Order: sequence, then structure tokens, then C-alpha cells
Amino acid sequence: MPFEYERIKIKKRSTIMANQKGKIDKLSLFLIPIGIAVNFIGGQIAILLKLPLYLDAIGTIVVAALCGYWPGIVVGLVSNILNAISSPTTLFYAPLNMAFAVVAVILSKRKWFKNFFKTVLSALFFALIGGGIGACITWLVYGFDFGSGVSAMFSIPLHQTLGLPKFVAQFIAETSIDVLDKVITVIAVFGVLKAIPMRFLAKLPLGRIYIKDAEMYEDDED
Amino acid sequence: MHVEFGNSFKKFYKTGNFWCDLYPTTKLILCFTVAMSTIVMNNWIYGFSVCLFYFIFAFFTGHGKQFTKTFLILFVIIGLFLVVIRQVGMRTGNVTPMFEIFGWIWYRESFITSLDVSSYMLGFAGGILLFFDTTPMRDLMYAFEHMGVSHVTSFIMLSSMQNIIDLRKTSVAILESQKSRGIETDGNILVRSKAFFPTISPLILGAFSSTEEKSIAMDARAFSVKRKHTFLRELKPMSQIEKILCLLFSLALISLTVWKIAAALIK
Repeated sequence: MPFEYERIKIKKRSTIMANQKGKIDKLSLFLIPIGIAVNFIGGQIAILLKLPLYLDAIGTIVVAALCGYWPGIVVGLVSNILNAISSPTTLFYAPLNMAFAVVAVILSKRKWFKNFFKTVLSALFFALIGGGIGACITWLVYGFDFGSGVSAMFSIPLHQTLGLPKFVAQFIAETSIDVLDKVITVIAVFGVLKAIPMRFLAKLPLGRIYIKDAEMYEDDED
Repeated sequence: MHVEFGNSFKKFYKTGNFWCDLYPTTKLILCFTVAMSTIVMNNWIYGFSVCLFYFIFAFFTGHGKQFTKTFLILFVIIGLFLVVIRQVGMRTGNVTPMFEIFGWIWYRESFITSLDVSSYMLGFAGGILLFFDTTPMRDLMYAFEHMGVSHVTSFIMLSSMQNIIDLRKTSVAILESQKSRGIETDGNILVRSKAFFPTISPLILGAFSSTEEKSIAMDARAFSVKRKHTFLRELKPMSQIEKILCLLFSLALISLTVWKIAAALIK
């Protein structure tokens, strides 16, 4: 029976994946370069569409949500290393992309990306990380003062008109810019996770989470 | 002729340029130590002198045009922009006016601070740029594999670069197709944001669907076999002089760091 066969296949695959703790399985390994490329292309499509956003974390979040911590972290780190070829200062911001991967795995395991509203809400976490860690890195790298990015255009008026401390102004500016960016990013992630075929999801370490009625199969087997 | 072509792979690969023919790890250590020294020094005279040296050196290696193009973009984004931002944002400690532009007074203190910061940012960026401009990624990965790094790392780095080129072409094709079926790519930010999803989703899904075939194809080419790998293009191993040079540059950076920390503590 095809239905029965699919159930057994899902169970078997998820058990195999669960046994490979700390190791990156073959399919996840081949998804890493695609995740890295998607991070780049996301940013380039944003430029083509003249959007004032980065959109450079889609690959990291998708791979982390489907494959787990290590593949996600590798995607984040290598994306920044390859970005450094043309813009070396992005190397300083590598911890940001790696943190996105860790948060994406935690949220994926809690099934946040299965629900649209929770997915949109998750943008706040990513924006807080982007703004928080981003502001700290900018603060350190630029000699404990404002950076030279777009955020400076918002943080300086905040500092001068509202009298906020420089770091707080930088943090608020970076987080605010990141919110819109991450909302669009997570909506794209949600759409992609919804559209991936079940037979492909079944082969990925965290793919089981996104298989429709996967819990029902597990309950049956218990 | 065929024998000659075959024999060319038996020799070490050479470009004929002294710097480009150095072992990738040597170039990495030399560029990285010089780049880091600008951060440690935090002095605009030293930082900009190093940047000038990068320019001369890039032209000497035959990569001057490529280096200048990227470096000038960084110079505008980091250097010039930062000088203006410090004049606007730095309010305390400004006592010495330099000049005035339409009533806007520029101070010497914030000007020097901005020069210091931008010089180490550009000094660091220039070193990394020079390295990547003069070292192909496959040579760097070759050196890493000889140091014991897994061939999987090489695959990830090199495959990512190829995927970026491939997916870029596909993304343009998808965007054009979506435009032809009537999707709006002009208008306000919301309209343009909406066009993003029908472009990125097919791109990711298409790329994902090809991974299974790729996985099988790679295994058919013995990707998972655990044994020593061979290389079609061999590089000349690191010479004794190169090792000494790397050691000297590393020691110089460590000494500089210790000296700077000691000087800061004494103050």
C-alpha cells in the first residue's frame, strides 16, 4: 500500500537522521552550497528590485530549519567568508549569520515555521539578533562609535534629537531596519518550506517537522 | 604535442609572477599580518601608508585594475562616509576648529579620530582584498587540504562559488519570466517587495530539487571514498624562505600587539 509504505519510509529516515548526531548527512552537505548561493542571490534580487533591504539570510534560515545546527552555521559562516572577497568588513559580521542559524533551528524544532503568524513573529527574534549583535559588532569595530552603514543615518538623529546614548541609538536604528528585512525573509522561508515536496523533506534531518500529519504517523507507531 | 600537454601537468603550476607563485598559505599569513597590524597600530599615517603600499603592490602583481576598482568603492563607503559621520556624530572632545563649510564647522579632533578608524578599516580590508585578488579559491583550498582539512570543505567553498554564478543566471531568467506574465517590478516598496517572493521561491525549489541527482552523481565519482586525494594541478610546496618570512611577520605582529598593550597599560 503506498500510504503505508510512505509512513514506514518517514519513520525509517527520521530514525537514521537522528542517529547521525554531530555529523552532516550527504543531502544536507549538498544543500549547504545552495544555501550559500541563495544568501547571495537574495541580496542581488533585492538590488534588482531596488529594495532597500539586505535579504541575505534566507539560505541560512532555510538550511538551518531543515538540516540542523551545523549545516546552518556553516552556511552562515561561509556566506560571510565569500562576501569578504569583495567586501572584507563583512567578515566581522559572521557571528550574526551563525546566530540566525542557531535561532532558526530552535524555532524550527518548536514548529514555529509551520504557522504563518508565528513565522512572521519570528522576524522579531531575528531582527533583535541582527540589531543587537550587529550593533555590538559595529560598536567594537568602529572604535566605540557609530558605524558607516545606512543605520548611521537613523542613529545619529536619534542620538542628537532624543539625546539617546550612542549605543542605544545604534541598537534601535539597526533593529528597526532589520525588522522589515527579516519579515520579508521569514515569509519567503515559510513559502519555501511549505512548497518542498514530502519525499524530499523525509530525507532531511528536520524535514519530518514539515511533513503534513507526520505526528499522526508517529502516534500510530507508539 | 599531446605528450607536451600531458607533461605540463607533471610540473608545478606557475604564473611567472613572484607574488602570485608564492604558496597560498604564505600569501594568507603575510596579507593577514599586515592587515591586522593596521588595527593594532590604530594610526592613520601608518594605515594609509599601508593602503598606498597595497596599491603599488597590486599593480606589481598585475592585479592593479581589479584591486583599485573594489578598493575605491570601499574607500568611499568606509573612508569618506565615516569622516562625514564623525563630524556630525562626535560632539564631545571637539575643541580645535579646522574649517567651515556653509556654517558647518569641522573639528580637528573628530577628523583625526575618523582618519584613524577609516585607516585601520581600509588597511584590514585592503589586505584581505589583495589576498583574494591574487589567490584563486581553488589554490587556497589545495593548500588547506594539504594541511589536513577535509575535501568536503573544498567542495563547499568551490561549489558555492559555482552555484552563485548558476543561480544568478537562473534568477534573472525567472525575474524576466515573471515580468512577462505581468508581475509588477516597479512601483512603491510594497509592490516591489511582492515581486520578490515569486522570484526567490522557484529559484530555491529548483536548486533543491537538483541536489538528489547531484548527490548520486558525486558518489558515482567516489566523493565519499576515504583515501588520499590526487590533484590535477599541483602547486610548489612552501620553501624554507617562505616559512622564515611567515614566522618573521607573525612574530612582528605579536611583538607589535604586546608593545601596544604594554603602552596602554603604562598610560
